[in-house]
Amino acid sequence: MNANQPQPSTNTTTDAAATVATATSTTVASQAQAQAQAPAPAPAAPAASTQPELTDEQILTQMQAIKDEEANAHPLVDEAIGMEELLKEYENGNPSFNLEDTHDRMRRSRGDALAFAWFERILLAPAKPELHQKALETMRESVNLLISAGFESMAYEDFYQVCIETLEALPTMVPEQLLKIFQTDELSNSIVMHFRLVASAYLKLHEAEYAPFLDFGQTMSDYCSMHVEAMGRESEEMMLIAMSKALHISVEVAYLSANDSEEVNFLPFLPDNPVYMPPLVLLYRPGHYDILYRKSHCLDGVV
Amino acid sequence: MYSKGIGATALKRLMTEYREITVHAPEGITAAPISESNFFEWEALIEGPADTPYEGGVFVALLTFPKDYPLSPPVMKFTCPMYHPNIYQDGTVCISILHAPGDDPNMYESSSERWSPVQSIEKILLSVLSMLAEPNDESGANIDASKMWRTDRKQFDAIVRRTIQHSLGL
Repeated sequence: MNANQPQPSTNTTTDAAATVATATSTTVASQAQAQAQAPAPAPAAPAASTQPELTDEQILTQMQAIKDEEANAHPLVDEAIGMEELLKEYENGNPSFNLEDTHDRMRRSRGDALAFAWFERILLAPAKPELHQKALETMRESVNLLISAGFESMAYEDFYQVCIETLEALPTMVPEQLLKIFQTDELSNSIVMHFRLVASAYLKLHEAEYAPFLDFGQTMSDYCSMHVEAMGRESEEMMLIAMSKALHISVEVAYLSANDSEEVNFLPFLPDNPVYMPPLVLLYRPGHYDILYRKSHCLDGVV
Repeated sequence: MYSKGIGATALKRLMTEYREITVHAPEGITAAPISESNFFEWEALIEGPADTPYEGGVFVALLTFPKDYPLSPPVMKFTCPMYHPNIYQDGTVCISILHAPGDDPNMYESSSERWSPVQSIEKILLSVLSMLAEPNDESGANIDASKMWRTDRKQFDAIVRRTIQHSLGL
């Protein structure tokens, strides 16, 4: 229905790759064998250190174990909880903390907050068909942004695929299903990665406007590869600006800085176009964001 | 719709990269999975660049991919003897593109190219090719080779050539 929609046609891709695999892997393997038969190198200087050497596989396994452990302790996106949970963390902190007056729930995340909040808003909105349509358009048009910014299709197609499939399936989903997707590393990471690439594309295409905010000597391309395109890096303000503009959404971020203000400080990020949904509200945490649910949004029937 | 196992995204991406690198192989580079039953272990053959002491050599390396590839980078290890400032004695390649930002074992320069999903196997191998031509002596993995490269280029070149001849069985 949309001429701009890319056609990744993954099934044929996979088959083709498999055929190619059959055709050439033997060549490389036999060449490799020839190499392997060459005299073995003198064993590397016998252990200056006595530390046991780990194989790459062991290192990867250990790293995966650490990630799994962390994942078991805290899901990527957690269940929504009452504001009193947040209050407990600040019992000995600033008494002026008053988020609970205006917000009735929150949801902890490990770095997927904005993407989850966006999907959840569309899922729960009362005017769902219109909002869903708008979201689909935005998501499809995001691919044009990636192409304009010079990304190779290989770099984004798999992530985009997960994003658009999730979005297309949204009207038939219940909230638990969406949460489940965002708690599944591979799906959640793919969606977050797409959002990151979109932010990177936006910044690269608007380099002239945002370059003044970069460190001296840093190019936008350097900045994006160091901060935006890599998973696990904190989304700084510039990235939130980019996402709000590229996705045409407004985002408000609450900063609980204890020293400079009596009130919780909300920093708004606004798109250039008129907004089509109330702002997504995030709570700044060192390294990531949590999601806040504003009471007024719930009263309007909009979560 | 989500009948995907763990590593399905990685597998799909590795298949795409395999097709790409087979069809448009860069000069001096061959790379493929060791076996069709395991796309997470690749073998790469790199020809030593012309006008460098590595010229004439063909170097074999193993690439091991994590299940969350391409979010995390592979590990690359030469299985033939290599004398180079940025290659550990055990063959492990130490180059910035194989490390995500924030993972900084060798204090790479902030502008150096890092791992992210926009990189690829081809880009890694091209970086390694240019690393052979131009070692980075600021992030040394083989201290002895780094020092030799800095202070006695003739001797360095001679050791590299000897290593190649030795590994080719000449």
